[in-house]
Amino acid sequence: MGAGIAWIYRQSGVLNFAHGAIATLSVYAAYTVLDHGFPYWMAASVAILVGAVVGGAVQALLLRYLSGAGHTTLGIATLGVGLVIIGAVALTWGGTQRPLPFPLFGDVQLQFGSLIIQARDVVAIGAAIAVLVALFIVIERTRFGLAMRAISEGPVTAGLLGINVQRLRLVTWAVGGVLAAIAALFVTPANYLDPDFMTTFMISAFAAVVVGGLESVGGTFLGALFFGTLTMWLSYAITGKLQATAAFVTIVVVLAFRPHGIFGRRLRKVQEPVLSQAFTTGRRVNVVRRLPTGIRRHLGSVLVALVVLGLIAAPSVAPTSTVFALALTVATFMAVLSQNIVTGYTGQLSVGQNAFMLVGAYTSVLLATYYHLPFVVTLAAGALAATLVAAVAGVVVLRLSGIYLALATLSLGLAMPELAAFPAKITGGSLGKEVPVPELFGLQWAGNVPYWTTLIVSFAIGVIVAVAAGSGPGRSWKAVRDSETGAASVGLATGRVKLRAVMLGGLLAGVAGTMQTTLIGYLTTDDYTLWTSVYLLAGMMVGGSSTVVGAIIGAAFITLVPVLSSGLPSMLQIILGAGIIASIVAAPTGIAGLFGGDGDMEREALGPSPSADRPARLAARQ
Amino acid sequence: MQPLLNFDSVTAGYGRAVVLEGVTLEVNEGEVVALLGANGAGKTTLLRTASGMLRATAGSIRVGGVDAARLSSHQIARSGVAQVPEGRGVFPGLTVEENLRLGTFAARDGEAGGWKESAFELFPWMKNRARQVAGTLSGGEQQMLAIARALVAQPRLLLLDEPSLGLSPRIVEEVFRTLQAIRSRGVAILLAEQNVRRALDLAYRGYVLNAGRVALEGTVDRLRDGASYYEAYMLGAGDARP
Repeated sequence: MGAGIAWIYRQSGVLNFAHGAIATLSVYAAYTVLDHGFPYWMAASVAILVGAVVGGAVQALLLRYLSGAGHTTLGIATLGVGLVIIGAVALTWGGTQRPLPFPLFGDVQLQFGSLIIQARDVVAIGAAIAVLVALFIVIERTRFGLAMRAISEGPVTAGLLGINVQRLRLVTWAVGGVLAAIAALFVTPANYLDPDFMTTFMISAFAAVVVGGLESVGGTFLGALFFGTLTMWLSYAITGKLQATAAFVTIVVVLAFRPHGIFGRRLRKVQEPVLSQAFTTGRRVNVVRRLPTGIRRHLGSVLVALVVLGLIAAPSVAPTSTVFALALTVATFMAVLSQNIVTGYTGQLSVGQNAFMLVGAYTSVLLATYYHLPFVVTLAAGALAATLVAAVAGVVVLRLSGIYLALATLSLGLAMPELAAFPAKITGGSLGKEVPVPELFGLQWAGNVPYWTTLIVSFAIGVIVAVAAGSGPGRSWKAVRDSETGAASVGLATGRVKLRAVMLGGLLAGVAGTMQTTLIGYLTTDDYTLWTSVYLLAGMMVGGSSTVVGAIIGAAFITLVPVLSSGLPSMLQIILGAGIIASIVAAPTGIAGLFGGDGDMEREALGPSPSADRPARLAARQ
Repeated sequence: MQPLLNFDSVTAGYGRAVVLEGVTLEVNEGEVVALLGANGAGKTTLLRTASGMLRATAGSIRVGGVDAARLSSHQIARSGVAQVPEGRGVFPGLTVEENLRLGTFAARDGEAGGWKESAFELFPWMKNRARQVAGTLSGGEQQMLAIARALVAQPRLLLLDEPSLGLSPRIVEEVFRTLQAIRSRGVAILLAEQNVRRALDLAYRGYVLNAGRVALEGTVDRLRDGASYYEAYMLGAGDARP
């Protein structure tokens, strides 16, 4: 599994979040073939074929179209693709869990002393080794592999040397899809198949890849062995419930000592200009039409004013259910803003903002439950706790950058719900906990009081962030995002800037989490899973990163989509995924960008490449 | 005979920034042509357009008589045009030998043809350091590796983008000695340079670009005669000598 991820990363520098989804899809395809009474080998071939086609299609349709965009953007794009695929799988095959049979050896068990091993596991390990050896030979010893390595270091230069970069990339991604399918065929028999399963499994694969080193296929194998052994030992020795936590700790510890994995090395790149597709093909791509400057300069403020007025008027005109939905949207706004500060403004891809929301929510709820503290105190405590956790996580995780940072935060986002569920007696676990009715300066927490409270808190936070973003702090965030080296050279303590941004993000997430749970009145450990982070990312991308207005639109999008999907989680995933893809492809600056937010992720597309000559960079920004 | 490279009123740029405007230029078989001009005059853009990295927005480009408008850069490379890009474009994570081997992708006879030997003949030092990672080479060595790699492709036309950039005078001397040797093999060269004296020593003809247009063209002698004329262009109007 990890091999496929490492393979694609090695070639294109893109972390393929859709890998798990492709694996899932291919196994379901195999299952359908078996259902129709065809033999296993046919089902397996279909699975592999599906993997190849879908893998290739991802590259052909999406990444090719987005060539020239930054790795963060591409990573988020694959996340969108993955969401769409998983949603489609769940829609087509239903959310049922099914086992996939394995033809060889059935349930034969081998016994070595006291150790009992399933025969098929031996076959799986053998197959994994065979695949790895084959990959190693291809990468290191063949002409194809040489071309592949050249492309990973400098695609433009590789093209100048007569290498057909597009075709080679297509092949690599197809092979990546095949690897996903093969891994899935071997893994599913040991587990039950459900649409989310491969995604969960992919986390272990990510951990293995990071531990081994992203560029090193062999390292991935050792990483997988190491990580597999670790989780097994952990589940025997302590508990099987902390797998994601183990992944997080492993990733962080390994990366603290070996920032590129145990066997990885830093990928060095050719200094070459980053030319967008539009220049190299003459096709017009990603041209965002903006409204005339005069209008768009004021449109943002007008929109905000309208939204605020509408929100103030809402309780007197709208039905109670709408007001409640609005309150939730307003709380979500703070969460999107939190994502935006960390990822949009400061350029640190975090896929773990849910962890901070969870911490905030639990801190306030537990304080209210066990110590009966007033709401103002619990809210502050929730915010403080989330900020502190963000500070600690930031110190550990911010040493990393790019893909490694995304993986570390992702595993944090997975680990936190697990940790919260562990002391189930206190937190209520996945069964949840009722939130005590808050006390607020003697006011009854009823009627429109929750709504007004949320509105006032969000408004205050929105104003503070808007002011910060428009002045010194905002400038330092964007400086760090656009060029960390450049920011450091003009005297910014980039580490501190990033940490402060992450802490502020944590604070907002903590407040958002507290407000949401208090509004809903119930909190379970499943309320803030990794999906929450994915939604926040989607909201940020759709609304427009690096703008406060964008966060409003994004929050509305996140709240609106479940309504549109009429409660079907699979439709929800499809819409969110499609939203991510559409916004990246059609409007890289998000909806807010269409009418002139100043920020964008587009700039990141140019990366910190020191070589690109000025006209190209300037032009590409237009 | 068809010229190897032919630009006819070519306009090119990056999005809204137009860098080349109506440039007409040609390079013939076996000819060395100098491309001079100040920073930002459009030399690099011209070479990028020639190698298919960048699309012309107007005008026509023919490579070896074939319309290059629809060719992508790898196809142009395979038709016998090798570029040594600005900043050398050496793959830092690959070894010297692997870098050279990459040249064979555009070569007519692929991996056959003793590519390694002919590269080592031109640059003997590479032989002992074939397994060294290219990122650890010095700037001058990387420049020579980039040139050697381009030659492995057995091009008919070599596009060179400021090979003297960032190199010490002694190394520049060496690079130009190498170019001399390449010239004598009959490979046509289009050389973008800031080092006017050396470029004119090597070339037969030349073009001076200013603000994306051809400001002056002609034989080396003509360019030398018009020294004050083109120096005005090189230095900008404010610095023009009386």
